[in-house]
Amino acid sequence: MKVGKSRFLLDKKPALKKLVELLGETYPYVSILGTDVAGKAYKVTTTGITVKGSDWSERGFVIRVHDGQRYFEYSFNEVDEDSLEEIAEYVRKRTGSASKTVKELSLSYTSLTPPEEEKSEIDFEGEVAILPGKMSPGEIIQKLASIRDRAHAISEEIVNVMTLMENVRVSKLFVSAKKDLYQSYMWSQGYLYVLARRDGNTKYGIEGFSGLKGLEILDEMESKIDKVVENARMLLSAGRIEPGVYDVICSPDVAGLIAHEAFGHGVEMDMFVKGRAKAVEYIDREVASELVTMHDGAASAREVSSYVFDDEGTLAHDTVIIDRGILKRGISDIISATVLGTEPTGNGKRESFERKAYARMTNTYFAPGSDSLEEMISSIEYGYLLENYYSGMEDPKNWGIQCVIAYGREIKDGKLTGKVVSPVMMTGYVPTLLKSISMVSGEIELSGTGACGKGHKEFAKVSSGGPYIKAKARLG
Amino acid sequence: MLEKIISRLQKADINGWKIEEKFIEGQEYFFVKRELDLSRAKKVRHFDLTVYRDFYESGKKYRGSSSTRLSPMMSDDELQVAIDEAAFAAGFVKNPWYPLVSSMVERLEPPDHDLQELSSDAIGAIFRADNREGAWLNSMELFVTRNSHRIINSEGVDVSYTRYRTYIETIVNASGKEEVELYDQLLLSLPEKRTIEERITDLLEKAIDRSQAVSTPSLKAIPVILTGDPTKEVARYYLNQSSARMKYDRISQVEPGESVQGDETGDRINLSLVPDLEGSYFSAPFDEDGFKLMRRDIVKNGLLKGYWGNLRYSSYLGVEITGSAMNFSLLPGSMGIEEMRSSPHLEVPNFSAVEVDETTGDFGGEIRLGWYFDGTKRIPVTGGSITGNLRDIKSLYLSREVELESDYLGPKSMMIEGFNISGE
Repeated sequence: MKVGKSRFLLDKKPALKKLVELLGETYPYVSILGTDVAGKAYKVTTTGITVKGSDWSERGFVIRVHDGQRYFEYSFNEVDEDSLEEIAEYVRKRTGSASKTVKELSLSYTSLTPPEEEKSEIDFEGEVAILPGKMSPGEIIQKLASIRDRAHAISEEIVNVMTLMENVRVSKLFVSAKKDLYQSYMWSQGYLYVLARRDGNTKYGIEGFSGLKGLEILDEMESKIDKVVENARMLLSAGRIEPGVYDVICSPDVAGLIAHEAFGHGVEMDMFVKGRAKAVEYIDREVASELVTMHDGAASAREVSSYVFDDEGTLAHDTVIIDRGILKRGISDIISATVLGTEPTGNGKRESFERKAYARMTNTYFAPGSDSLEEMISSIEYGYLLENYYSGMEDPKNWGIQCVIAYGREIKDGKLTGKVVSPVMMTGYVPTLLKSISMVSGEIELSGTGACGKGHKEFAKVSSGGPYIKAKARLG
Repeated sequence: MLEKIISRLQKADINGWKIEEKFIEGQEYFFVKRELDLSRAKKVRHFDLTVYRDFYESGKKYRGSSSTRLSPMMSDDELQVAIDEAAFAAGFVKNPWYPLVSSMVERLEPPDHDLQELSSDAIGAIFRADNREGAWLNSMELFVTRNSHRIINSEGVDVSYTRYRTYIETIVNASGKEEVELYDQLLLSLPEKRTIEERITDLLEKAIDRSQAVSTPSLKAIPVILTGDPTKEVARYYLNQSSARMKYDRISQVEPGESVQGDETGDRINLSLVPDLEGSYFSAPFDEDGFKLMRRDIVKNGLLKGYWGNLRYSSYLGVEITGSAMNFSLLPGSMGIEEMRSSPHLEVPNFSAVEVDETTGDFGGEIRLGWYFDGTKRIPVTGGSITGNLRDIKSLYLSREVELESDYLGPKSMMIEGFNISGE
């Protein structure tokens, strides 16, 4: 079913086009991104119920101008036909003020050429199986409550259950002298969080669900609740891992975290511009085992970061970052591509209209191989099968990696022993980790719950994933 | 717009409402080395609306709520639909009843500042400090904002205040065995020039150390000293254990009069909520409900004195309402930092990210920069990780020296025994 379009953006479009023309009298390049992102989040826990607008909701505009040498942006969310001249005047005044500050402090500007645009028009409306309006808030709450109650019925060790489901419709409009782009699509995400306690020891199981979906995600959540309860209770008996280097098998979500943290952040090309990415020295060189091929792109998969054009009006790509172990290229926004003399790859993303566009990941994943999970397990004398993760952090300059993994299942003499360790911190040098990949399974899974930050801010929706991979890793 | 929203709420089938209006003006600068890559400005207004509906079931009173963000550009029809949908949804939210804040009218306005001048002050201070041989500023992002808040509700609350906030993200490089970088984020209210210069200077020094660092060795049973941001994150764990929401949600198991700490020896935690912490980015006189905030002692000598929380969760637990203050403080401890450093230890000021799990007490992080002292030499180290659980540590000592770090004022360092160090 079609997700519908933003009446608001379509109504504002004539005024925005006028504003582009008005500013075009002063600036060689002018573009405006309009956003109308709306959704609802439903959370049912053992202790309460919450219904609120999605935290991803936003409605506003950002103007980008280029005066022949440099860019300036203005974010705002109040405009009508009568305020266009006032907005244009404010932009002119502010560009002058920024120049004054730079001059007074004896600093300078990065000299940039304006983007060369080709004429393009797009009008896209996505589809999902079940639109959010097909169920009332009461029915959605009831469904989430039934999942919660099922978890409690399994064990008295469960002390709290959280079920969360969020549907978000993203609508964006991009206008410039040559571009007239519109898109609406919908993504949804869900979480199951189960808190278990035994003799004062507390652990939790967590599972995420995501995709370009609507209410159909509720059925997926319901099908997994038993497993999440089982995991939470399993962790109550988990021990601590002895720090060391082990043979490991990473589940698709952990493989995705590695793809994301290890190379995803490291090939965001604004990092190349700043000299913050070691990857720039390794283009066309071996950085991983020949079993490793890695993609990123809004057009590379159907997940939460699949769009038709990015927040700078560049069309979606499918970028092959690593091809059979060789680092091929990075992903970029327009400004980075301009500085580096490369083509933008449709990765210019903003947290919202209020924030700057950076080079950001979209759907990042390792391509499948030909091994099976069973073959991988049987090939390990002593090691761990690592599943689920809590968080990760990148270090693009020095290629360090930090992944906090929920748990590891012990493997001894080619068999799972039933012993579990939790949590597990995976650290190390990225190429060493990726070069150690010796087996890759045949099917991939992607997931796009949560948010990805750049540093510790600029949260954006991304997905990541991959197949099962076997590697050597330092765990602690 | 605000009057229009209130007028419609007064006609809606609801039992209460709350609106938080935020108007944010900001200037942003993005530098690569000493070149301005991009400058930005913003002026945005948001209305966050919560509606409440009361109902009875089996003789028990419930209060449902639903929240939504309203745009100042909503048409009359859109506004009505948004209010109607929120009111309808609130009718299905079966939560125990709780009161709203009532009868509070106050307007607090600080002296006015020019955002352009504040930005220039910050930029000047940052680049003045970029004068260290062997280390340099790679890139910097500056956000200076004026944030005007107004909270109004159906029970007579109408409070407003304005706060200035400064956010500086800095990346520095240093050249040594290889070129390295360190990341820092500094959050302040006004861009205090001396604080900024000292912070950048310290960061450049640390980057030089990281450029000389060797791989963290495999170390057994030595104390770990956390300094700066990691200290704050451990302190936050104790804050969260004292939260009314965490208690109500069955995550925290601590009862009033019980210890928020484990069985470790050493210093006891003394923790307070400090809504108006001078220089803090997060200081605010009212919480999101419009409740007037005051300093509160929460943990005394390691024992929970009383939970802190907003009106809803405090009401659920039947405890005194403190409101949700955004700053907290810890009293200084018994050891000076130099005393901590006098015997073998691993000191870590920079992790890739500090992970402290508020539910389980698990702690972990990859070491970006540390210093290993073997009893004679202090060697910069990098790589490897520290893991452990704050409920299982053997000892905890807090430094006498204190610092303001974002929303935290308290010991700059803490020394912990009982963590695992994974090195080479």
